[in-house]
Amino acid sequence: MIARRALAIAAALGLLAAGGPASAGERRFALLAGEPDGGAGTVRLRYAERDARRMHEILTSVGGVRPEDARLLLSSGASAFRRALEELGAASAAARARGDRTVLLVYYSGHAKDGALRLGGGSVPLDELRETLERAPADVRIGLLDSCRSGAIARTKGARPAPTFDVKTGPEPGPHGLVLIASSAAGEDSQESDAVGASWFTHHLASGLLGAADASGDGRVTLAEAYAYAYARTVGSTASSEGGVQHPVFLYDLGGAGDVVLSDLAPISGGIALSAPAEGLYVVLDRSGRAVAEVAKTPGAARRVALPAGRYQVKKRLADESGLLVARLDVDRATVPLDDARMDRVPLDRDPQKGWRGNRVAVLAGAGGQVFFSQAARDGLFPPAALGGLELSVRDDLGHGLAWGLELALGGGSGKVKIPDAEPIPVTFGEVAGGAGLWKDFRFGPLTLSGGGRVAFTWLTRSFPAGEHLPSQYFFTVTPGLTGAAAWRLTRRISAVARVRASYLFYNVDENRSLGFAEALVGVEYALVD
Amino acid sequence: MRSWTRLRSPGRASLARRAAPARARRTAAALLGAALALSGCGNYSTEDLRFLAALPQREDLAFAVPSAPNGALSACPPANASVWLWAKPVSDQINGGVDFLLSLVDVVRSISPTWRADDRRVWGPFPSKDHPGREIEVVMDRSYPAELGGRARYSYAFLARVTGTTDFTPLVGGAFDGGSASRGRGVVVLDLGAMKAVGMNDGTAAGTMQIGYDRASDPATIQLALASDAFGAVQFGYRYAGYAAGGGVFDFAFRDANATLFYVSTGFDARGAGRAAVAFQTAGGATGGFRQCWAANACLVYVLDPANVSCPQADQPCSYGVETDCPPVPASPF
Repeated sequence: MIARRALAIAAALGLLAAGGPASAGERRFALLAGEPDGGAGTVRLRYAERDARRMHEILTSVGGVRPEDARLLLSSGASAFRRALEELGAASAAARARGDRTVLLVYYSGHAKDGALRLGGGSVPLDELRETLERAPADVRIGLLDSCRSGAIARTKGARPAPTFDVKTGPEPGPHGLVLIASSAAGEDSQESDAVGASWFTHHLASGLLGAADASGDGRVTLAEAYAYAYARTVGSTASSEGGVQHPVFLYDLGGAGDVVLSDLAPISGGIALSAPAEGLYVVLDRSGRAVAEVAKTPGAARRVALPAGRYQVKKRLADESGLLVARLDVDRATVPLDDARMDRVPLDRDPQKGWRGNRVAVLAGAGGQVFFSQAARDGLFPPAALGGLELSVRDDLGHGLAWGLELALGGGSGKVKIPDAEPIPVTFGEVAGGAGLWKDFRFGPLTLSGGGRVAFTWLTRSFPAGEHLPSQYFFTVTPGLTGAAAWRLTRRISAVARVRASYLFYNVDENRSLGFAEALVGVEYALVD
Repeated sequence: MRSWTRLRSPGRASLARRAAPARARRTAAALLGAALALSGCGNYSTEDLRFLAALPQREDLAFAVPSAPNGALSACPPANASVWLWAKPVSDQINGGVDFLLSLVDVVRSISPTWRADDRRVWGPFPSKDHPGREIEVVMDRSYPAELGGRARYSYAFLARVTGTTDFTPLVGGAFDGGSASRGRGVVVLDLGAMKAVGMNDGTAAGTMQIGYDRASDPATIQLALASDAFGAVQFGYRYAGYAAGGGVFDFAFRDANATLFYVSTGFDARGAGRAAVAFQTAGGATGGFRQCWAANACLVYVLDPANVSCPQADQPCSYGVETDCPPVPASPF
């Protein structure tokens, strides 16, 4: 139903011929504001600033906005918002005076309450914003508001909820007028999603601008296409949410010929291409696992999603809910074709969007020490020893955040064996241990805490350099134990790691004794496969 | 003759006999599997070290008499002391006997015990490297007798047999009180006759060599009794005491080329200067004695030999110096 309505919007717009996002003689100006703090009585938003940064990146890369013509405001307040809007208006006026066509776009992600945008301690009434845009010296003025009840900005002057609306056409060479798009109706909340790390509306709008909304397949996303796509996807994503369904609304008061092209994918040659028969919901994730684009693909036309160079994962949930299709792609300057047949089928719990990042193999080299808990054991059997270790770990291979690893440790030390009524015997102690561990990682930003179990084959030996009359001795056993670690990610591949182990050793030569020992290791971990 | 029987673990036997329900059997099997998996193997034993520490070593039983610096005696007027000259060869012979004994004892230091109990270690039987066709078994026991006030007493026996036979013959027996041979007191007896019986010596030595040693106090003492002539030394009760500060006593006997038997009691200070009282018995039965004193360089400072026994050569005086020139030496602890 939603898809049909969205398509109807695009059809109603007639897919009018349009110029590029900033064709020759056109200048675009954009104000992008992310304001997580809405003042008293509001909860701080988690993704408002990220929304603004994301839209800024898209508009300056495929939206035809020169970087110097964009103003990105993050938690800057109402005064800065008004000042930036005024500056951009002046710049637009100057451009028009030079004979350029101009587009002024205002994007806002944040709180709105009681008929006003709430920027920190200040506010900007929706009526004021609308009037400012109406009077702004630009041929096309666009307002994109992702905030609760922001639909009020359109309602106040007769805007209608989606989906149907008219586009005025006339003899003018290009479109001119005002377009207001709000993420939710006047009585609705706009919702953020931890799953996509963004507000739903901005997420789908951004995806659409990167190509997901390019219903015509011409490599350009018009205002109508973007709205239709964002509308359909936002309604679909929030239909079953606790916050209730969210309906984006619009005021579309454009004159002149043609529609406004919001993004032209041509400047970014890299990306992914979905073939015409492809069907389903494809989610593109960046290296950190955040969704950067989402394509609700229907059969019939190929679709390209423009992406900056980088490594991405694309996931598609199978229709029967039996699993996921996942592909890892390196995007450079070329468009990478994406075919379901070339994607890996994985269980649902290996959803990269839920933290699954594929197998990560790392090598840890470190040094530390070992000490037995029992004083008697330290004096009579196993003196404290220095340790050096190597560890190969594989993360995200088993699901559930579990990791496993193989370890090899070499150690040694010297001390004295204390025997009653006898001179202490100098001893040189050595150890070789090889084992395997299984643990669970808990990530907190750059910090990863781990806890789990391990078991090792341990070879302990000692010799008595000052007493040739005493033979060397050895002991070989299995030592199970617990392991814990704290790792701080220094770079993408390198982490500083502190690892602690507590192990059990059953000693049974002289007598049966249960012994425990601890090992501490600090080192550097290098990710071979990340 | 002794033979040894391996002990069985009573726990395993009772486990095998029990007819338990299936669940209990599975649990037992799991526990047994876990126990086996965690059980270690090896010879990493501090108790083994305690047993080995009870066995004497070369430095524990050595007769360390003064010797010439760098092996060369200084020329001195009127002559070197004959007693000083006799002492070193005799001590070398005695030490040779000790080395022979220790060569038997030391075999256990290169191999792990075959069987362990709380207060027992058993090595072997294993083939003797130096005596083909012979097998050796060593048994050490530990006890804590009341008279030692909680300290350990170790007793041990080194046994041998001809390979393929069943009965062992004790060759060495010993006992030791204390934590280590370097700090305690003990006795060890080598049965040369038994070695001869199993074909493990050249057949010329007989009787026993018994060594008592006490290193628990100052001076450390060693008494070695040869029941018959052996290792080039004559039958005698040799005694040695060495003080921690240096100096000591050495009582020994030897027979010269004329078959005269000398019994010598010496004392020496930390520098090697000393004095001796010598008794002799000629082959013809005549007896007598003389006294000698010497300086740290082994030169005579005093001699009084009325029988002219110690001075057969012209350059050796039979009377020289005065007794007050003799150095003070430690008193004999014997």
